[in-house]
Amino acid sequence: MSYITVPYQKIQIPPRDDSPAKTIHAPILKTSLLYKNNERFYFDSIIDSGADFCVFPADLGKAAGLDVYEGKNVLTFGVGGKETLYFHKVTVEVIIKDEPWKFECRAGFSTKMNAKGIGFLGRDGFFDLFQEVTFNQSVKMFRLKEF
Amino acid sequence: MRSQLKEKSVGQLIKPFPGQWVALSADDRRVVSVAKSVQAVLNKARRKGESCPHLVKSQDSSSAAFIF
Repeated sequence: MSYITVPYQKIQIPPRDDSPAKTIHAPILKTSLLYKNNERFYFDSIIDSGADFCVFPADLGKAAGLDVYEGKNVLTFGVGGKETLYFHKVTVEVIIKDEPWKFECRAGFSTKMNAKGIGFLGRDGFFDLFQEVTFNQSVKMFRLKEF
Repeated sequence: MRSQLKEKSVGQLIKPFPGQWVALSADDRRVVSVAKSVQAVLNKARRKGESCPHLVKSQDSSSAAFIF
């Protein structure tokens, strides 16, 4: 049984009137959407055990060649309120320790997430790749246990 | 001789462009293009010969947390 241990990455947040600049550490992986032999690009996604599905910004789906708003629309409820997501079957590639890992899933595409520009790797799809996904906040690392 | 120039992190590379999309080279060592939209930054990067850029949104001061 082998494990892959990956350090969290930093996200820099600039200061604003009511809070100083800060750095968030998060479990992030480079991600690409593979769709109809599109020209490849990567973006960042946070591993999110609370997300039922993988969800990506709609603008990134469009750039990958998807007709985003033609997807099946589903009203979803989260901490940030309700939003309609548009679902498409896609192949997702993530880079883990310089190695590509691919999975197929039905991913949601979100207009609201365009502002953040970052995706979520949810349980359906990403978590199915591994026997266990463990977060160690104290050392800012996550560990993936392979099947 | 070891270089005196320390390699910049992704965070340092994108910091000067708050609220904008930044296309980094595939090895994350340099900024290839900057634009306000995904498509624009991608088009600029491709015109500059970067076939597989890494697109990163530089967060602005409204990004208090990643809660959706």
